[in-house]
Amino acid sequence: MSNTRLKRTPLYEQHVAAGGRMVPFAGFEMPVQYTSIRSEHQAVRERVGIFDVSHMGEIELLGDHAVAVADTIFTNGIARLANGQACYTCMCRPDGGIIDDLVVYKITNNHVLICANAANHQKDLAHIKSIAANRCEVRDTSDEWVQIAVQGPCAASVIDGLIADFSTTAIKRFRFTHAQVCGTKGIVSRTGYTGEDGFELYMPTSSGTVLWDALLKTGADVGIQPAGLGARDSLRLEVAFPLYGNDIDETTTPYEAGLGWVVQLNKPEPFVGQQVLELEKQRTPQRRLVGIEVTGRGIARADYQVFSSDGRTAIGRVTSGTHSPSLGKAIALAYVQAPYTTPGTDLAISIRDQLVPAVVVPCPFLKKPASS
Amino acid sequence: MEKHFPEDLKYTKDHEWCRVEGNIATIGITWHAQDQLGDIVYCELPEVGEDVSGNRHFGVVESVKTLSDLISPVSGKVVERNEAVIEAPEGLNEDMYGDGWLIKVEMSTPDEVNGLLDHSVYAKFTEEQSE
Repeated sequence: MSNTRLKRTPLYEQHVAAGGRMVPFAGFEMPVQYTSIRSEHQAVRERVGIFDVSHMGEIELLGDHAVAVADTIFTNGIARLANGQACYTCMCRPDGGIIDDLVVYKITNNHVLICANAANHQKDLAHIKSIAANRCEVRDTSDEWVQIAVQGPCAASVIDGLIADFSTTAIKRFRFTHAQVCGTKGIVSRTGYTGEDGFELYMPTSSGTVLWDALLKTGADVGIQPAGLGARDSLRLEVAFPLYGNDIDETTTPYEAGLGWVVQLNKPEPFVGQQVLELEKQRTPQRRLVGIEVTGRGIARADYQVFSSDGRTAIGRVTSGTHSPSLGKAIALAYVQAPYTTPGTDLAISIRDQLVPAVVVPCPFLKKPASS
Repeated sequence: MEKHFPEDLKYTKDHEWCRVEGNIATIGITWHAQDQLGDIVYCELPEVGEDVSGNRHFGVVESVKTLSDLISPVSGKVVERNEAVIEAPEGLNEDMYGDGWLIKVEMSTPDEVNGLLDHSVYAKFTEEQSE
């Protein structure tokens, strides 16, 4: 296989040494799994797993107007965040289509850090630069960061073992702080993409391998495991976090995707796409992203067609689907027409030309006890 | 389980194996197939009495991340299918040449077996594929 055009993260050698099966993903060679998806998935749900997410893009806004500019770019409110607080948000086109979903960190009143999907990184950068114009500095700092996600009920105790001057109890959900981890200064953020308590560490690239190895060593007692893209996908789907490119894209809007909660229509300045989204909020969307459980035999996969339960009417399309390792059943996200979105509605999914019974269920599929 | 390709089986480039005993061929997936798929979570097989054709689709196995068509090495009638792997598909990862067999076929064209690969040719083929 020719991989000459694929990039590698600073942790590439670590993945290969740990038996990671490397696959092309968003222009990078990334580990899809090390041992098995099921085992890595379970480690994150029950103990702790670490993910190399250095392929994600980092874009920073700097200057007196950085926060105001961010508020015109993102659907969620940035100015209302405290320094040291982050939020999940969409970034939309003028017609309301989602350019990307991102996490935005308000570092100070004149410094914003944006974490973008790897596949959208260059597109996002161009869009952000065009909206920012000359009102603030836009810097692509992706190559300066190694990003590691530490996720699972034991994540806090593992991080606490590597920091000297504070405790993770000081960081609430969607808060972050600058701190020394393994002797190197970086950002410790209580965020993630698994539905578990957990942290994302943004550290200087050069510190990546030392930090990765230290995490594995410190977490050995609690059964830490490196986890790949496969487990990342099954974990996020169980808690119904959308995946850009599957469940959301430029043809879908935040309201259709059930992301109305990240759209703030009352900010001091309007954001790109606001006019269209204001109108859409007042109507019922024609289709909505819903959770589906396959009650018959089979697994619904992306692009399978969804029908009414009598099989007569095509009503939508599956965007993500798998066998849930935690629940032991087939779950999926699908866009379906408005009359069919209520939990309890019987549907059918076309699996290899056979109609298989399914039902709309509330999201998330996996209900976890609330964590700190 | 370590990579292995038993000497007494015949193989296809679609990563199925075939054990021939008289007129009956037992069919399964190889170590390489289950290794590429990862944790297998679903298995769909033809009913007893259905016909399968050599080099044609006869079922599906799915893992958490993907799915793979099953391609029959031989033609004939399904005389038995492994209900245990339908109930517990992880058996395909654990014992793919033993308890993880899929179907038994009464062959209509036993000569087809001559076109299958022996273990050393197949092992070499999987190595070339992995490069």
